[in-house]
Amino acid sequence: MSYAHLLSDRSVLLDLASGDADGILAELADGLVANCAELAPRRDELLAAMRARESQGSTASQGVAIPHVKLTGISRVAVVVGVHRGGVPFRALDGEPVHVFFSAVRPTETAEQHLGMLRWFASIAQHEDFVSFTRKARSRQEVLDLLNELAPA
Amino acid sequence: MPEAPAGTSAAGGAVVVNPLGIHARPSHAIVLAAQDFAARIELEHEGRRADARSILSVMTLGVPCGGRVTVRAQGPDAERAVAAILEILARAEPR
Repeated sequence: MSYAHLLSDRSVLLDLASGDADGILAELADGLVANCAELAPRRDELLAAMRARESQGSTASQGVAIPHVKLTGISRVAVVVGVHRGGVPFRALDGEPVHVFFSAVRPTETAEQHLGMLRWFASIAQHEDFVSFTRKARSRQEVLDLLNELAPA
Repeated sequence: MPEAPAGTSAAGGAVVVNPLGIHARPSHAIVLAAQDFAARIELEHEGRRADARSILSVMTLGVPCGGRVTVRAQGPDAERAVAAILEILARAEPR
């Protein structure tokens, strides 16, 4: 199943600027809030959950990270795709800098959809050209087009 | 991935008991365990294969709770490698 319907022009954060993992998580949390109004009053809670989750084990490898959390009491999944053109240290399992972030927050109740979404992100990220093409994208739409092109059927 | 030294091979199977399947945390545990061995380790689920040293590759399998996984290893410590990965797969949530 495709999860492309969760992404729009506004869900692409084309120029992440932070130089460390904490700053990146804050930028991603702000992006999720901007895409999902019900998260606005819970921004700090969301960021704390994201930091706690990443401290439990890295989701980063091969230039891509998938920081994701669940929150009780939200009605839907929100997703952003962040791009750091220069690459940033993110405690990746292979020690390499991370250029692309798939970040998601989901309601606690959607466990089954969760596995499918992780698989969808990971399948796109596994494509050999994904990171190099995404780093060079000139517009948010270019990133969306790439995701749609590389997404598994 | 560098070529694993020729030598022993081993294989085994497990049914995933984690209620969320092999999501990110178990995938992370598998990769960390795999890094401790010289053997090349591969997971297979429904005909799809993953390199146990790559978290993206492991998550691409999307193995749900109850899913059957075959673990194959090739290298000098293949048997121990398979045993370690099977132990993670059979665990409700990685420590």
